[in-house]
Amino acid sequence: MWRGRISLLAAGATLALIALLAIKTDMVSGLPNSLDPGPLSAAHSHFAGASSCGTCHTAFGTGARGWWQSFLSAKALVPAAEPAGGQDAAAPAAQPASALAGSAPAAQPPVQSSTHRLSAACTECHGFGGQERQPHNRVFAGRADLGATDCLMCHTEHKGRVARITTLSPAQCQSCHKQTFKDFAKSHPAFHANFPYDHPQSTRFDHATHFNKHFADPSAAKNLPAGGCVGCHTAGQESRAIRPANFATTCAACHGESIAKRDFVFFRWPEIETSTITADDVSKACGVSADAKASAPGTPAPAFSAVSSDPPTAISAYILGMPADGAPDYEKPVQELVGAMMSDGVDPLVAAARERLGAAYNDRLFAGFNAEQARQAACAWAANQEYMPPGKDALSGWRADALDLRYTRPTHADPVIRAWVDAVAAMPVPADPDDKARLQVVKKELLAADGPGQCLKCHAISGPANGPQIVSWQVQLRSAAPQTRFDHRPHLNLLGPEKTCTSCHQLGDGSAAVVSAGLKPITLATCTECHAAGKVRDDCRTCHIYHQDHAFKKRMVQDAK
Amino acid sequence: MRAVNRSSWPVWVGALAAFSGLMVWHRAPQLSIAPSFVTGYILFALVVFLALYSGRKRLSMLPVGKASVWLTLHLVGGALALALFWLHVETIWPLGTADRALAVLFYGVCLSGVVGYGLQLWLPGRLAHAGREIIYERIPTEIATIRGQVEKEILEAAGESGNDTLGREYLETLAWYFAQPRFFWSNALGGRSAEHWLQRHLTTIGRYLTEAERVHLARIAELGAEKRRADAQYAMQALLKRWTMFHVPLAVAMLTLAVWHLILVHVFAR
Repeated sequence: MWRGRISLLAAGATLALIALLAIKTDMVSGLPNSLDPGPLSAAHSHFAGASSCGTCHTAFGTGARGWWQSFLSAKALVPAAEPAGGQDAAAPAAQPASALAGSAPAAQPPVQSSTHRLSAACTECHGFGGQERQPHNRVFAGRADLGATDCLMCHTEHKGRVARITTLSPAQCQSCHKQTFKDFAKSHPAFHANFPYDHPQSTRFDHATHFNKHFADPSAAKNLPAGGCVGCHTAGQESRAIRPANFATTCAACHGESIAKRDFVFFRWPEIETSTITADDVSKACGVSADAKASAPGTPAPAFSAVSSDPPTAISAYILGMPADGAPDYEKPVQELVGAMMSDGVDPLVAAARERLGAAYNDRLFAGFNAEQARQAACAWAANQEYMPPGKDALSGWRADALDLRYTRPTHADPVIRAWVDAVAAMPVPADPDDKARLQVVKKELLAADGPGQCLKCHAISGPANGPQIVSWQVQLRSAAPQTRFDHRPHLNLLGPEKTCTSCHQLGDGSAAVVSAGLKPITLATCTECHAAGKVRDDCRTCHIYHQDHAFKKRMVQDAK
Repeated sequence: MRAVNRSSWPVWVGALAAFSGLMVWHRAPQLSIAPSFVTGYILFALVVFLALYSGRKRLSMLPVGKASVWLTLHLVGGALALALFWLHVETIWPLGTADRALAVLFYGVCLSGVVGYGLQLWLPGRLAHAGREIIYERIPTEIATIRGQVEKEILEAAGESGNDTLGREYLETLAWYFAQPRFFWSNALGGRSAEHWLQRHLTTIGRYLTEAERVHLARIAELGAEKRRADAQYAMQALLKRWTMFHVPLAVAMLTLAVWHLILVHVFAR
């Protein structure tokens, strides 16, 4: 009997305490509260105050009726929030199905048309680069079976101020990914064959050849970068990418002079069999001085002997749309051009280039061109003479010299040469077969590794061989795997002086596995030396990222103001 | 009844297998449902089932299975509930006022249950060897009878000897002992404090008594031993009954709070 009475008393006291402690709903006061589910994480701890719980919990503060409605809502779902700022609409391009190769999802829940109401509260503030409710915030092409996701599948709150609610366990990743493994060292899939060099190299540099051959040459000893790898690579505060230093620091000591050795000859006064420019034309356009050796009026013309015996340059032939291998075919347009240049300087040349190159034309192509010098050179060629530039020393930049209009690059990263390389690379394939052939010759000369400036000796070019191409002028380091991360910094400091870069990046030995960088691929074994069970952290999120471009939404920032 | 015996081990194995399966499922997160909801509901159902055991004892006339089977299920279920609780909470000491209160009550129920089970294993054997068995409710009457016989002996001794030595000793010392059950914890735990106390006082007073009075003193000593056996019966039987005075009310309070927890979960967390 007493036991029954005490039990009733206990139940009554419990109910009374619940009611008493639920009256004051302020979680900040520190007083016990029967609604208190535990402290929020540090990141969310600013949601404090009398109505703070309502930020996420829609039932908070709605009274008994709101509680009842919330209790009865069986699915506890609310319609999916419209994408803020068009985020969902601006979803990233569909990824290839191979992106999840070997990791196809396990049994997925049916796609829901609505989202968990707490998840909806999360995405009020948190935005992502892709679709919020898609796995990895991405749309995987051909993977319609991938179900929608909710924030609460991985993140739960009220686990204490120091709780790290973003930390996921490998098991959580493997709730979708079929290829399950418990141990990174034992069961992680092998890296790609040429990892991490299996991406287009923006600059070509063969480490193996340089270290094994060139740097071993005693004559190059004074030019070698000091400190080994860090002599060229800036291993400072950079995390994922260790960029090489600039050309002047790394390459110029050996290659600085050679890149300026070969000029870009844009125009060459070719061999002319029949001159159509008369002495009168020259005299009228250029004045008496330019006509010094021309025949006097009324006297019979001597037999014509061309001052040039060379064909026109490939680039000028392409610009003027003429063949470069037969004087009868090219001498008319060439003489017309020079005739125009006698009076207008460089303008006719620029106009012809602008018309021919179309969208690929760039104002930098003829930057620094001296119009008067061009005019004087045209006068000399029209008079069947070589042009003699004033002064003894040939300066860099555009200049006329003898029978040529040529460009001497003053230094590395010259904008004019770069503009010409870009323009020629970007030219679409002409429909006319003759034009197509001429463009191929131009590309072969200008885009060759030993072409003017030797740009393409190091800078990579990408795109179809017979279509528009792009030259990589800047070093572009690996970015082909947006869902992975790597930080060089802790690795550099931890491995010690005897085990630095070459612990992982080993010089190639000439075998087939060596890629263009001249380095051996990094294998899984390299990482598992340290990252394994019982050693350094080896869970999925050590290297892999779930969300794409996480950022706070504008609304959240505005509300905070 | 022992928790593990020939008939109960299949139940233990079944419970262990069920829990192992649940744990494996719990460790592989599900996309369709939060594991904590599943473990929470299973735990709640199990606790309700455990609470039914109390009702089964009250309604023994109903044909709902043998008491021994119920006890086995109660013991196995209790152990399973503790494991499920840790699986559900994922920690030993949860956060939040309500959850901590629930944890305190849950641990209280578990602890009282373990203590009660221990008492049920230990005391019945001792009761069997503690002399004449007396029904718990009749022990006060039995003590009153003994007390009456002691007082009768005192009066007879005073009448025969004309001395009040024994009478004064009774009023000053022995009356306290014979008034009601004494030396509860000593008797419950198998101590001999009561025996020593009585022996000390009777030996002391014996020096001042006549031969005739000593005859009555010997009779009082026998009645004191009888009282001590009644006290032991009382202490052990009281322990066997009173531990449920903690266990059951704590369980009721815990169930009440569990219902509140369930409401909060449905209103706020789902």
